[in-house]
Amino acid sequence: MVSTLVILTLGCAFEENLPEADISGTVIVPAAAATRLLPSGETVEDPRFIGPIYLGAFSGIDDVSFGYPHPAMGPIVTGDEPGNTFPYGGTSVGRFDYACYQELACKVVTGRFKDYADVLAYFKGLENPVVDDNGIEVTNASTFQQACYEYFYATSDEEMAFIGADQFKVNADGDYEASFTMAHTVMVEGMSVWGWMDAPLIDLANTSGNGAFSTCDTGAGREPTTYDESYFEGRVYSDALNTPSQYIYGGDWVASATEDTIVTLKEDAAGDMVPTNPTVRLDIGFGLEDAE
Amino acid sequence: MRTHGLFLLSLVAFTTSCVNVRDRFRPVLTDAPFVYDIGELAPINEADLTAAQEDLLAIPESVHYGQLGAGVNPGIFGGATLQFAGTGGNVCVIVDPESMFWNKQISTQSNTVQYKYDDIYTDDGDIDVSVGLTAYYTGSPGQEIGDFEAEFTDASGVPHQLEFNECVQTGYFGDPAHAGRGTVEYCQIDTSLRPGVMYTAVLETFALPIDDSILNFGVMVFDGNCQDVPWVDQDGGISNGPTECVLPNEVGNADPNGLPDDKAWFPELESAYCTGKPAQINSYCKDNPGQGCQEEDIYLE
Repeated sequence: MVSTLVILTLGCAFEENLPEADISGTVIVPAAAATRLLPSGETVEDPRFIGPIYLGAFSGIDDVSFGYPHPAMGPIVTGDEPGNTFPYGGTSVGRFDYACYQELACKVVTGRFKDYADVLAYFKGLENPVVDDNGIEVTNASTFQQACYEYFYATSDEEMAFIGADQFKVNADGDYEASFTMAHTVMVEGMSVWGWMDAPLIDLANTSGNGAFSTCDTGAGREPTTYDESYFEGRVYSDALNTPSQYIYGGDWVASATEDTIVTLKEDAAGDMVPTNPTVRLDIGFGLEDAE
Repeated sequence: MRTHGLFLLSLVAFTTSCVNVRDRFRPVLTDAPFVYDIGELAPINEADLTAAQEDLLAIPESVHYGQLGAGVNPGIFGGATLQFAGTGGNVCVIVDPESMFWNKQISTQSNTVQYKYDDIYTDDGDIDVSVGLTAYYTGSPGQEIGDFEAEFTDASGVPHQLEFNECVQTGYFGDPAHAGRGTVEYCQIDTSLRPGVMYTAVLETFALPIDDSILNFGVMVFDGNCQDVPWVDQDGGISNGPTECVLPNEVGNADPNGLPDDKAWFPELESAYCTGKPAQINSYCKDNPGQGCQEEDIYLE
Protein backbone atom coordinates (compact mmCIF):
# COMPACT_ATOMS: atom_id res chain seq x y z
CA MET A 1 0.00 0.00 0.00
CA VAL A 2 2.74 2.40 1.05
CA SER A 3 4.93 1.49 -1.91
CA THR A 4 1.98 2.03 -4.26
CA LEU A 5 1.46 5.48 -2.81
CA VAL A 6 5.16 6.26 -3.21
CA ILE A 7 5.10 5.15 -6.83
CA LEU A 8 1.98 7.19 -7.53
CA THR A 9 3.50 10.26 -5.91
CA LEU A 10 6.75 9.88 -7.81
CA GLY A 11 4.81 9.37 -11.01
CA CYS A 12 3.01 12.67 -10.57
CA ALA A 13 6.32 14.45 -10.04
CA PHE A 14 8.08 12.84 -12.96
CA GLU A 15 9.95 15.42 -15.02
CA GLU A 16 9.42 14.66 -18.69
CA ASN A 17 11.96 17.26 -19.81
CA LEU A 18 9.68 18.46 -22.58
CA PRO A 19 11.02 21.60 -24.28
CA GLU A 20 7.91 23.49 -23.21
CA ALA A 21 7.16 26.39 -20.90
CA ASP A 22 4.15 28.37 -19.76
CA ILE A 23 4.66 31.88 -21.12
CA SER A 24 2.96 34.52 -18.99
CA GLY A 25 2.70 38.11 -20.08
CA THR A 26 0.58 41.20 -20.49
CA VAL A 27 -1.43 42.45 -23.42
CA ILE A 28 -2.21 46.14 -23.74
CA VAL A 29 -5.13 47.34 -25.81
CA PRO A 30 -5.18 51.07 -26.56
CA ALA A 31 -8.27 52.97 -25.55
CA ALA A 32 -8.75 53.81 -29.23
CA ALA A 33 -9.38 50.11 -29.93
CA ALA A 34 -12.24 50.21 -27.45
CA THR A 35 -13.71 53.33 -28.99
CA ARG A 36 -16.28 52.93 -31.74
CA LEU A 37 -18.73 55.02 -33.66
CA LEU A 38 -22.21 53.64 -33.11
CA PRO A 39 -25.17 53.69 -35.48
CA SER A 40 -26.69 56.38 -33.27
CA GLY A 41 -23.87 58.71 -34.34
CA GLU A 42 -22.34 58.66 -30.90
CA THR A 43 -18.67 57.73 -30.37
CA VAL A 44 -18.29 55.58 -27.28
CA GLU A 45 -15.32 54.07 -25.41
CA ASP A 46 -16.36 50.75 -23.94
CA PRO A 47 -14.24 47.64 -23.14
CA ARG A 48 -17.07 45.53 -24.48
CA PHE A 49 -15.85 46.55 -27.96
CA ILE A 50 -12.62 44.64 -27.29
CA GLY A 51 -13.06 41.43 -29.21
CA PRO A 52 -11.14 38.21 -28.70
CA ILE A 53 -7.37 38.74 -28.70
CA TYR A 54 -5.37 35.95 -30.29
CA LEU A 55 -1.78 35.54 -29.14
CA GLY A 56 0.87 33.18 -30.43
CA ALA A 57 4.60 32.57 -30.17
CA PHE A 58 6.38 32.58 -33.52
CA SER A 59 9.87 32.22 -34.95
CA GLY A 60 9.91 35.86 -36.05
CA ILE A 61 7.94 38.80 -37.41
CA ASP A 62 7.58 39.60 -41.11
CA ASP A 63 7.16 43.33 -41.78
CA VAL A 64 7.11 43.02 -45.56
CA SER A 65 4.49 40.58 -46.77
CA PHE A 66 1.41 42.40 -45.42
CA GLY A 67 0.43 45.93 -44.56
CA TYR A 68 1.06 45.21 -40.89
CA PRO A 69 3.50 43.13 -38.81
CA HIS A 70 2.72 39.46 -39.34
CA PRO A 71 4.38 36.26 -38.10
CA ALA A 72 7.04 34.83 -40.39
CA MET A 73 5.54 32.19 -42.67
CA GLY A 74 6.64 28.89 -44.14
CA PRO A 75 6.39 28.24 -47.88
CA ILE A 76 3.14 29.00 -49.70
CA VAL A 77 1.81 25.60 -50.76
CA THR A 78 -1.34 26.57 -52.61
CA GLY A 79 -1.90 29.83 -54.40
CA ASP A 80 -4.96 30.96 -52.52
CA GLU A 81 -3.63 30.56 -48.96
CA PRO A 82 -0.74 32.21 -47.17
CA GLY A 83 2.05 30.09 -45.73
CA ASN A 84 1.71 28.46 -42.33
CA THR A 85 3.20 30.50 -39.48
CA PHE A 86 3.92 27.33 -37.46
CA PRO A 87 3.22 28.83 -34.02
CA TYR A 88 5.07 27.31 -31.06
CA GLY A 89 2.03 27.86 -28.88
CA GLY A 90 -0.91 30.16 -28.47
CA THR A 91 -3.84 31.37 -26.43
CA SER A 92 -6.54 34.01 -26.47
CA VAL A 93 -7.72 36.71 -24.12
CA GLY A 94 -11.45 36.13 -24.24
CA ARG A 95 -13.09 33.39 -26.27
CA PHE A 96 -16.39 32.88 -28.02
CA ASP A 97 -19.09 31.55 -25.79
CA TYR A 98 -22.60 30.58 -26.75
CA ALA A 99 -24.95 32.98 -25.02
CA CYS A 100 -28.10 30.85 -25.06
CA TYR A 101 -29.81 32.38 -28.12
CA GLN A 102 -29.10 31.35 -31.70
CA GLU A 103 -28.98 35.03 -32.64
CA LEU A 104 -25.97 35.49 -30.36
CA ALA A 105 -23.86 32.68 -31.82
CA CYS A 106 -20.38 34.00 -32.65
CA LYS A 107 -21.13 37.40 -31.12
CA VAL A 108 -20.37 37.04 -27.41
CA VAL A 109 -16.85 36.90 -25.97
CA THR A 110 -15.98 35.88 -22.41
CA GLY A 111 -14.60 38.45 -19.97
CA ARG A 112 -16.48 41.39 -21.48
CA PHE A 113 -19.94 41.40 -19.88
CA LYS A 114 -20.95 41.80 -16.23
CA ASP A 115 -24.39 40.24 -16.43
CA TYR A 116 -27.34 39.48 -18.69
CA ALA A 117 -28.52 43.09 -18.72
CA ASP A 118 -25.05 44.15 -19.84
CA VAL A 119 -25.31 41.87 -22.88
CA LEU A 120 -28.77 43.14 -23.76
CA ALA A 121 -27.67 46.78 -23.45
CA TYR A 122 -24.59 46.21 -25.60
CA PHE A 123 -26.51 44.80 -28.53
CA LYS A 124 -29.24 47.39 -28.11
CA GLY A 125 -26.53 50.02 -28.52
CA LEU A 126 -25.38 48.33 -31.73
CA GLU A 127 -28.99 48.58 -32.95
CA ASN A 128 -29.06 44.81 -33.30
CA PRO A 129 -31.05 43.87 -30.19
CA VAL A 130 -31.04 40.32 -28.85
CA VAL A 131 -34.00 38.29 -30.08
CA ASP A 132 -35.10 34.86 -28.97
CA ASP A 133 -35.45 31.89 -31.28
CA ASN A 134 -38.92 33.12 -32.31
CA GLY A 135 -37.52 36.48 -33.37
CA ILE A 136 -39.01 38.34 -30.40
CA GLU A 137 -36.77 40.92 -28.77
CA VAL A 138 -35.47 39.98 -25.34
CA THR A 139 -35.80 43.01 -23.11
CA ASN A 140 -35.69 41.47 -19.68
CA ALA A 141 -32.52 40.12 -18.03
CA SER A 142 -34.47 37.49 -16.12
CA THR A 143 -35.97 36.19 -19.39
CA PHE A 144 -32.42 35.89 -20.71
CA GLN A 145 -31.36 34.12 -17.55
CA GLN A 146 -34.26 31.69 -17.73
CA ALA A 147 -33.46 30.88 -21.36
CA CYS A 148 -29.88 30.13 -20.38
CA TYR A 149 -30.87 27.92 -17.48
CA GLU A 150 -33.16 25.95 -19.77
CA TYR A 151 -30.66 25.69 -22.58
CA PHE A 152 -27.71 24.57 -20.49
CA TYR A 153 -29.72 22.78 -17.78
CA ALA A 154 -27.98 25.21 -15.40
CA THR A 155 -28.98 26.36 -11.95
CA SER A 156 -26.66 29.30 -11.31
CA ASP A 157 -25.09 32.26 -13.10
CA GLU A 158 -21.62 30.96 -12.19
CA GLU A 159 -22.16 28.34 -14.87
CA MET A 160 -22.41 31.04 -17.56
CA ALA A 161 -18.91 31.71 -18.85
CA PHE A 162 -19.94 34.79 -20.82
CA ILE A 163 -20.88 36.89 -17.80
CA GLY A 164 -18.88 37.77 -14.71
CA ALA A 165 -15.77 39.78 -13.98
CA ASP A 166 -14.25 42.13 -16.56
CA GLN A 167 -11.01 40.72 -17.93
CA PHE A 168 -9.35 44.12 -18.36
CA LYS A 169 -8.16 46.87 -16.04
CA VAL A 170 -7.38 50.43 -17.09
CA ASN A 171 -3.69 51.35 -16.73
CA ALA A 172 -2.10 54.73 -16.01
CA ASP A 173 -2.15 55.64 -19.72
CA GLY A 174 -5.88 55.02 -19.92
CA ASP A 175 -5.35 51.85 -21.98
CA TYR A 176 -6.74 48.42 -21.20
CA GLU A 177 -4.50 45.69 -19.80
CA ALA A 178 -4.98 41.98 -19.26
CA SER A 179 -2.68 39.16 -18.29
CA PHE A 180 -2.34 35.97 -20.31
CA THR A 181 -0.66 32.60 -20.08
CA MET A 182 0.33 30.54 -23.10
CA ALA A 183 0.48 27.09 -21.56
CA HIS A 184 2.77 24.36 -22.88
CA THR A 185 4.47 26.55 -25.45
CA VAL A 186 7.54 25.11 -27.16
CA MET A 187 10.30 27.18 -25.59
CA VAL A 188 12.54 28.62 -28.30
CA GLU A 189 14.80 31.42 -27.13
CA GLY A 190 14.28 34.57 -29.15
CA MET A 191 10.76 33.72 -30.26
CA SER A 192 8.30 36.59 -30.69
CA VAL A 193 4.88 36.81 -29.15
CA TRP A 194 2.47 38.46 -31.55
CA GLY A 195 -1.26 38.80 -31.74
CA TRP A 196 -4.25 40.76 -32.85
CA MET A 197 -7.68 41.79 -31.70
CA ASP A 198 -10.68 40.83 -33.77
CA ALA A 199 -12.95 43.88 -33.58
CA PRO A 200 -16.73 43.41 -33.68
CA LEU A 201 -18.56 44.40 -36.84
CA ILE A 202 -20.39 47.69 -36.41
CA ASP A 203 -22.11 48.70 -39.60
CA LEU A 204 -23.77 52.09 -39.37
CA ALA A 205 -26.27 51.47 -42.16
CA ASN A 206 -27.09 47.76 -42.08
CA THR A 207 -27.13 46.89 -38.40
CA SER A 208 -28.49 43.34 -38.63
CA GLY A 209 -25.04 41.75 -38.43
CA ASN A 210 -23.57 44.05 -35.82
CA GLY A 211 -21.54 42.39 -33.11
CA ALA A 212 -20.26 39.56 -35.33
CA PHE A 213 -16.59 38.58 -35.56
CA SER A 214 -14.57 37.48 -38.59
CA THR A 215 -12.65 34.84 -36.60
CA CYS A 216 -15.77 32.90 -35.66
CA ASP A 217 -16.97 30.04 -37.84
CA THR A 218 -20.76 30.08 -37.75
CA GLY A 219 -20.90 26.68 -39.44
CA ALA A 220 -18.97 24.82 -36.76
CA GLY A 221 -18.96 24.12 -33.06
CA ARG A 222 -21.47 22.21 -31.00
CA GLU A 223 -24.64 21.46 -32.92
CA PRO A 224 -27.71 21.21 -30.73
CA THR A 225 -30.71 19.55 -32.34
CA THR A 226 -34.24 19.91 -31.03
CA TYR A 227 -36.86 18.19 -33.16
CA ASP A 228 -36.45 19.73 -36.60
CA GLU A 229 -34.38 22.66 -35.35
CA SER A 230 -30.64 22.40 -35.69
CA TYR A 231 -27.88 24.98 -35.73
CA PHE A 232 -24.27 25.53 -34.74
CA GLU A 233 -23.07 27.40 -31.68
CA GLY A 234 -20.01 28.68 -33.56
CA ARG A 235 -16.35 28.46 -32.71
CA VAL A 236 -13.08 30.10 -33.65
CA TYR A 237 -11.45 28.99 -36.90
CA SER A 238 -8.88 26.35 -36.05
CA ASP A 239 -6.15 27.97 -38.17
CA ALA A 240 -6.55 31.50 -36.76
CA LEU A 241 -2.92 31.50 -35.58
CA ASN A 242 -1.57 29.46 -38.50
CA THR A 243 -2.86 31.83 -41.20
CA PRO A 244 -3.94 34.99 -39.33
CA SER A 245 -3.99 37.21 -42.41
CA GLN A 246 -7.09 35.34 -43.58
CA TYR A 247 -9.04 36.74 -40.65
CA ILE A 248 -7.63 40.25 -40.14
CA TYR A 249 -9.87 42.98 -41.53
CA GLY A 250 -10.22 46.71 -41.29
CA GLY A 251 -10.90 47.81 -37.73
CA ASP A 252 -8.82 45.04 -36.13
CA TRP A 253 -5.80 45.93 -33.99
CA VAL A 254 -2.45 44.26 -34.53
CA ALA A 255 0.60 43.97 -32.27
CA SER A 256 3.81 45.71 -33.16
CA ALA A 257 7.13 43.88 -32.83
CA THR A 258 9.27 45.28 -30.03
CA GLU A 259 11.96 44.07 -27.66
CA ASP A 260 9.21 43.45 -25.10
CA THR A 261 7.58 40.80 -27.27
CA ILE A 262 10.70 38.63 -27.53
CA VAL A 263 10.90 35.73 -25.11
CA THR A 264 14.27 34.67 -23.73
CA LEU A 265 15.36 32.79 -20.65
CA LYS A 266 16.30 34.47 -17.37
CA GLU A 267 17.45 33.11 -14.04
CA ASP A 268 14.89 33.26 -11.29
CA ALA A 269 15.49 33.56 -7.54
CA ALA A 270 15.88 29.81 -7.21
CA GLY A 271 18.52 29.73 -9.91
CA ASP A 272 16.25 28.10 -12.48
CA MET A 273 16.11 29.34 -16.05
CA VAL A 274 12.60 30.59 -16.75
CA PRO A 275 11.07 32.46 -19.69
CA THR A 276 10.81 36.24 -19.63
CA ASN A 277 7.36 37.84 -19.52
CA PRO A 278 6.45 39.50 -22.82
CA THR A 279 4.34 42.64 -23.08
CA VAL A 280 2.28 42.80 -26.26
CA ARG A 281 0.87 46.14 -27.38
CA LEU A 282 -1.91 46.05 -29.95
CA ASP A 283 -1.00 49.52 -31.12
CA ILE A 284 -1.55 49.24 -34.87
CA GLY A 285 -5.10 49.98 -35.85
CA PHE A 286 -5.16 48.11 -39.13
CA GLY A 287 -7.22 49.47 -41.96
CA LEU A 288 -9.07 51.92 -39.77
CA GLU A 289 -9.88 54.01 -42.82
CA ASP A 290 -11.95 51.04 -44.05
CA ALA A 291 -13.78 50.57 -40.80
CA GLU A 292 -17.25 51.79 -40.01
CA MET B 1 12.84 -31.20 -18.51
CA ARG B 2 9.45 -32.30 -19.70
CA THR B 3 8.16 -28.80 -19.10
CA HIS B 4 10.96 -27.33 -21.17
CA GLY B 5 10.23 -29.77 -23.95
CA LEU B 6 6.55 -28.86 -23.99
CA PHE B 7 7.42 -25.21 -23.95
CA LEU B 8 9.75 -25.58 -26.92
CA LEU B 9 7.15 -27.60 -28.79
CA SER B 10 4.53 -24.93 -28.11
CA LEU B 11 6.90 -22.23 -29.26
CA VAL B 12 7.66 -24.01 -32.51
CA ALA B 13 3.97 -24.69 -33.12
CA PHE B 14 3.06 -21.08 -32.36
CA THR B 15 5.76 -19.68 -34.63
CA THR B 16 4.87 -22.03 -37.45
CA SER B 17 1.20 -21.23 -37.18
CA CYS B 18 1.97 -17.51 -37.31
CA VAL B 19 3.96 -17.99 -40.48
CA ASN B 20 1.16 -19.99 -42.00
CA VAL B 21 -1.46 -17.43 -41.07
CA ARG B 22 0.68 -14.61 -42.43
CA ASP B 23 1.18 -16.43 -45.70
CA ARG B 24 -2.52 -17.05 -46.00
CA PHE B 25 -3.29 -13.33 -45.93
CA ARG B 26 -0.47 -12.20 -48.16
CA PRO B 27 -1.46 -11.37 -51.74
CA VAL B 28 -0.27 -13.62 -54.51
CA LEU B 29 2.58 -12.44 -56.71
CA THR B 30 1.44 -11.97 -60.31
CA ASP B 31 2.71 -10.40 -63.50
CA ALA B 32 0.90 -7.16 -62.62
CA PRO B 33 3.53 -4.57 -61.65
CA PHE B 34 3.99 -3.51 -58.05
CA VAL B 35 5.21 -0.06 -59.07
CA TYR B 36 5.08 1.53 -62.50
CA ASP B 37 5.01 4.90 -64.17
CA ILE B 38 2.19 5.66 -66.59
CA GLY B 39 3.99 8.66 -68.03
CA GLU B 40 2.43 11.97 -68.98
CA LEU B 41 -1.30 12.27 -69.49
CA ALA B 42 -2.69 15.28 -71.32
CA PRO B 43 -5.66 16.90 -69.55
CA ILE B 44 -8.66 16.39 -71.82
CA ASN B 45 -11.42 18.98 -72.01
CA GLU B 46 -15.15 18.38 -71.80
CA ALA B 47 -15.84 18.68 -75.52
CA ASP B 48 -13.11 16.22 -76.55
CA LEU B 49 -14.02 13.78 -73.82
CA THR B 50 -17.70 13.93 -74.74
CA ALA B 51 -16.82 13.20 -78.34
CA ALA B 52 -14.73 10.19 -77.28
CA GLN B 53 -17.29 8.61 -74.98
CA GLU B 54 -17.87 5.68 -77.33
CA ASP B 55 -14.30 4.47 -76.98
CA LEU B 56 -12.14 5.89 -74.23
CA LEU B 57 -9.36 3.46 -75.17
CA ALA B 58 -8.93 5.49 -78.33
CA ILE B 59 -7.52 8.40 -76.34
CA PRO B 60 -4.52 6.84 -74.55
CA GLU B 61 -2.87 10.25 -74.29
CA SER B 62 -5.53 11.24 -71.75
CA VAL B 63 -7.12 8.05 -70.43
CA HIS B 64 -5.20 5.10 -69.04
CA TYR B 65 -6.34 1.66 -67.93
CA GLY B 66 -3.79 -0.41 -66.02
CA GLN B 67 -3.11 -3.09 -63.45
CA LEU B 68 -1.30 -3.11 -60.15
CA GLY B 69 -0.11 -6.12 -58.22
CA ALA B 70 1.62 -7.18 -55.04
CA GLY B 71 5.24 -6.58 -54.17
CA VAL B 72 7.79 -9.12 -53.07
CA ASN B 73 8.38 -7.42 -49.75
CA PRO B 74 5.38 -6.87 -47.49
CA GLY B 75 4.83 -3.59 -45.70
CA ILE B 76 5.74 -1.31 -48.61
CA PHE B 77 3.11 0.53 -50.60
CA GLY B 78 3.13 0.10 -54.35
CA GLY B 79 1.25 2.01 -56.98
CA ALA B 80 1.44 3.98 -60.20
CA THR B 81 2.47 7.52 -60.99
CA LEU B 82 1.59 9.85 -63.82
CA GLN B 83 2.47 13.38 -64.74
CA PHE B 84 0.48 16.21 -66.27
CA ALA B 85 1.14 19.84 -67.05
CA GLY B 86 -0.76 22.59 -65.27
CA THR B 87 -3.43 24.05 -67.56
CA GLY B 88 -3.80 27.40 -65.83
CA GLY B 89 -7.16 26.37 -64.44
CA ASN B 90 -8.77 23.58 -62.47
CA VAL B 91 -7.79 20.00 -63.30
CA CYS B 92 -9.58 16.88 -62.08
CA VAL B 93 -7.67 13.65 -61.50
CA ILE B 94 -10.13 10.77 -61.39
CA VAL B 95 -9.33 7.11 -60.67
CA ASP B 96 -11.69 4.15 -60.78
CA PRO B 97 -10.38 1.00 -59.07
CA GLU B 98 -12.21 -2.28 -59.60
CA SER B 99 -14.78 -3.45 -58.79
CA MET B 100 -18.26 -2.11 -58.58
CA PHE B 101 -19.17 0.31 -55.86
CA TRP B 102 -21.95 0.00 -53.47
CA ASN B 103 -21.70 0.41 -49.89
CA LYS B 104 -22.96 -2.40 -47.73
CA GLN B 105 -19.41 -3.50 -47.07
CA ILE B 106 -18.31 0.01 -46.20
CA SER B 107 -21.01 1.92 -44.47
CA THR B 108 -23.99 0.59 -42.63
CA GLN B 109 -24.94 4.17 -41.88
CA SER B 110 -26.25 4.69 -45.40
CA ASN B 111 -28.22 1.51 -45.32
CA THR B 112 -30.82 2.67 -47.78
CA VAL B 113 -32.54 0.45 -50.31
CA GLN B 114 -29.85 0.53 -52.96
CA TYR B 115 -27.23 -0.62 -50.50
CA LYS B 116 -29.11 -3.58 -49.07
CA TYR B 117 -27.95 -6.31 -51.42
CA ASP B 118 -24.60 -7.93 -50.87
CA ASP B 119 -21.69 -7.01 -53.03
CA ILE B 120 -18.91 -9.52 -53.45
CA TYR B 121 -16.19 -7.78 -51.51
CA THR B 122 -13.35 -10.08 -52.56
CA ASP B 123 -13.07 -8.39 -55.94
CA ASP B 124 -12.83 -4.84 -54.59
CA GLY B 125 -9.58 -2.95 -54.55
CA ASP B 126 -8.67 0.49 -53.33
CA ILE B 127 -6.41 3.21 -54.66
CA ASP B 128 -5.58 6.40 -52.78
CA VAL B 129 -4.64 9.46 -54.81
CA SER B 130 -2.31 12.30 -53.98
CA VAL B 131 -1.26 15.07 -56.36
CA GLY B 132 1.38 17.74 -56.06
CA LEU B 133 4.06 19.54 -57.97
CA THR B 134 6.52 17.09 -59.49
CA ALA B 135 9.34 19.09 -57.92
CA TYR B 136 8.09 18.14 -54.46
CA TYR B 137 7.61 14.42 -55.16
CA THR B 138 9.95 12.28 -53.07
CA GLY B 139 9.48 8.98 -54.91
CA SER B 140 11.17 7.59 -58.01
CA PRO B 141 8.62 7.03 -60.80
CA GLY B 142 8.59 3.40 -61.80
CA GLN B 143 10.88 2.41 -58.95
CA GLU B 144 9.48 3.52 -55.62
CA ILE B 145 6.33 5.22 -54.40
CA GLY B 146 6.89 8.43 -52.43
CA ASP B 147 4.88 11.35 -51.11
CA PHE B 148 4.82 15.13 -51.11
CA GLU B 149 6.10 15.74 -47.62
CA ALA B 150 9.07 17.95 -46.91
CA GLU B 151 10.72 19.57 -43.94
CA PHE B 152 10.81 23.32 -43.44
CA THR B 153 13.21 24.86 -40.93
CA ASP B 154 12.06 28.21 -39.58
CA ALA B 155 14.17 31.24 -38.70
CA SER B 156 14.81 29.87 -35.21
CA GLY B 157 16.08 26.56 -36.54
CA VAL B 158 12.96 24.61 -35.58
CA PRO B 159 11.96 21.97 -38.15
CA HIS B 160 8.33 21.66 -39.27
CA GLN B 161 6.67 19.07 -41.48
CA LEU B 162 5.22 20.43 -44.73
CA GLU B 163 2.58 18.69 -46.82
CA PHE B 164 2.59 19.59 -50.52
CA ASN B 165 -0.16 17.16 -51.50
CA GLU B 166 -2.89 19.28 -53.06
CA CYS B 167 -5.37 16.45 -53.57
CA VAL B 168 -8.03 16.89 -50.90
CA GLN B 169 -11.32 15.02 -50.85
CA THR B 170 -14.20 15.67 -48.54
CA GLY B 171 -15.29 12.56 -46.70
CA TYR B 172 -18.21 11.62 -44.50
CA PHE B 173 -16.62 13.36 -41.50
CA GLY B 174 -15.02 16.25 -43.39
CA ASP B 175 -11.71 16.50 -45.15
CA PRO B 176 -9.16 15.31 -45.96
CA ALA B 177 -10.38 11.84 -46.77
CA HIS B 178 -9.91 8.99 -49.21
CA ALA B 179 -12.64 7.12 -51.02
CA GLY B 180 -13.52 3.61 -49.90
CA ARG B 181 -12.88 0.29 -51.56
CA GLY B 182 -13.90 0.07 -55.21
CA THR B 183 -15.06 3.66 -55.10
CA VAL B 184 -14.07 6.21 -57.68
CA GLU B 185 -11.46 8.53 -56.15
CA TYR B 186 -11.00 12.03 -57.48
CA CYS B 187 -9.81 15.48 -56.56
CA GLN B 188 -9.61 18.89 -58.13
CA ILE B 189 -6.30 20.71 -58.43
CA ASP B 190 -6.04 24.46 -58.96
CA THR B 191 -3.19 25.06 -61.40
CA SER B 192 -4.04 28.71 -62.06
CA LEU B 193 -0.71 29.96 -60.73
CA ARG B 194 1.36 27.29 -62.45
CA PRO B 195 0.35 26.82 -66.11
CA GLY B 196 2.77 24.52 -67.89
CA VAL B 197 4.39 23.37 -64.66
CA MET B 198 4.50 19.60 -64.20
CA TYR B 199 2.41 17.87 -61.57
CA THR B 200 2.68 14.27 -60.40
CA ALA B 201 -0.29 12.14 -59.38
CA VAL B 202 0.42 9.16 -57.15
CA LEU B 203 -2.03 6.27 -57.28
CA GLU B 204 -1.12 4.33 -54.16
CA THR B 205 -2.27 0.73 -53.94
CA PHE B 206 -4.13 0.73 -50.65
CA ALA B 207 -5.81 -2.66 -51.07
CA LEU B 208 -5.59 -5.39 -53.69
CA PRO B 209 -8.66 -7.53 -54.46
CA ILE B 210 -8.47 -10.69 -52.39
CA ASP B 211 -9.66 -12.93 -55.21
CA ASP B 212 -6.74 -12.56 -57.63
CA SER B 213 -4.37 -9.94 -56.14
CA ILE B 214 -4.63 -7.91 -59.33
CA LEU B 215 -6.08 -4.42 -59.12
CA ASN B 216 -7.50 -3.19 -62.42
CA PHE B 217 -8.13 0.52 -62.64
CA GLY B 218 -8.77 3.41 -64.96
CA VAL B 219 -7.40 6.93 -64.56
CA MET B 220 -7.98 10.19 -66.37
CA VAL B 221 -6.83 13.80 -66.11
CA PHE B 222 -9.70 16.12 -66.96
CA ASP B 223 -9.21 19.74 -67.94
CA GLY B 224 -11.89 21.38 -65.80
CA ASN B 225 -13.92 20.93 -62.64
CA CYS B 226 -14.64 17.44 -61.34
CA GLN B 227 -18.36 18.14 -61.42
CA ASP B 228 -18.14 18.68 -65.19
CA VAL B 229 -16.57 15.33 -66.15
CA PRO B 230 -18.95 13.85 -68.77
CA TRP B 231 -20.19 10.26 -68.96
CA VAL B 232 -22.88 8.35 -70.85
CA ASP B 233 -26.05 8.14 -68.79
CA GLN B 234 -28.92 5.66 -68.78
CA ASP B 235 -30.63 7.26 -71.77
CA GLY B 236 -27.49 7.29 -73.87
CA GLY B 237 -27.15 10.99 -73.24
CA ILE B 238 -24.33 12.78 -71.50
CA SER B 239 -24.36 13.48 -67.78
CA ASN B 240 -21.69 15.18 -65.72
CA GLY B 241 -20.00 14.37 -62.46
CA PRO B 242 -17.26 12.18 -61.01
CA THR B 243 -19.03 8.83 -60.77
CA GLU B 244 -18.28 5.13 -61.15
CA CYS B 245 -19.51 5.45 -64.71
CA VAL B 246 -16.90 7.94 -65.97
CA LEU B 247 -14.28 5.23 -66.62
CA PRO B 248 -16.37 2.16 -67.55
CA ASN B 249 -15.27 -1.46 -67.65
CA GLU B 250 -11.99 -0.95 -65.79
CA VAL B 251 -11.62 -4.73 -65.47
CA GLY B 252 -11.94 -5.54 -69.17
CA ASN B 253 -10.08 -2.49 -70.42
CA ALA B 254 -7.16 -2.87 -68.02
CA ASP B 255 -6.47 -6.57 -68.44
CA PRO B 256 -4.16 -7.12 -71.46
CA ASN B 257 -5.95 -10.40 -72.14
CA GLY B 258 -9.37 -8.81 -72.10
CA LEU B 259 -12.16 -9.55 -69.70
CA PRO B 260 -11.27 -12.66 -67.63
CA ASP B 261 -13.84 -15.47 -67.67
CA ASP B 262 -14.50 -15.28 -63.96
CA LYS B 263 -15.37 -11.59 -64.29
CA ALA B 264 -17.28 -11.75 -67.54
CA TRP B 265 -20.23 -10.30 -65.68
CA PHE B 266 -18.44 -7.02 -64.93
CA PRO B 267 -19.62 -4.77 -67.82
CA GLU B 268 -23.21 -5.84 -67.49
CA LEU B 269 -23.31 -5.32 -63.74
CA GLU B 270 -21.60 -1.95 -64.01
CA SER B 271 -24.02 -0.97 -66.73
CA ALA B 272 -26.89 -1.96 -64.45
CA TYR B 273 -25.43 0.24 -61.75
CA CYS B 274 -24.94 3.18 -64.11
CA THR B 275 -28.34 2.93 -65.73
CA GLY B 276 -30.21 3.58 -62.56
CA LYS B 277 -30.25 2.07 -59.15
CA PRO B 278 -31.61 0.18 -57.39
CA ALA B 279 -34.07 -1.44 -59.75
CA GLN B 280 -31.62 -2.53 -62.42
CA ILE B 281 -29.11 -3.96 -59.96
CA ASN B 282 -31.86 -5.79 -58.11
CA SER B 283 -33.12 -7.22 -61.34
CA TYR B 284 -29.62 -8.14 -62.50
CA CYS B 285 -28.65 -9.76 -59.22
CA LYS B 286 -31.87 -11.73 -59.05
CA ASP B 287 -31.33 -13.10 -62.54
CA ASN B 288 -27.57 -13.59 -62.18
CA PRO B 289 -26.72 -14.77 -58.68
CA GLY B 290 -23.01 -15.22 -58.21
CA GLN B 291 -22.25 -12.99 -61.20
CA GLY B 292 -20.87 -10.12 -59.16
CA CYS B 293 -23.68 -10.50 -56.64
CA GLN B 294 -23.91 -12.84 -53.70
CA GLU B 295 -25.70 -16.11 -54.30
CA GLU B 296 -28.46 -15.31 -51.88
CA ASP B 297 -32.12 -14.91 -52.50
CA ILE B 298 -32.31 -11.55 -50.81
CA TYR B 299 -32.74 -9.23 -53.72
CA LEU B 300 -35.55 -6.82 -53.62
CA GLU B 301 -38.18 -6.72 -56.28
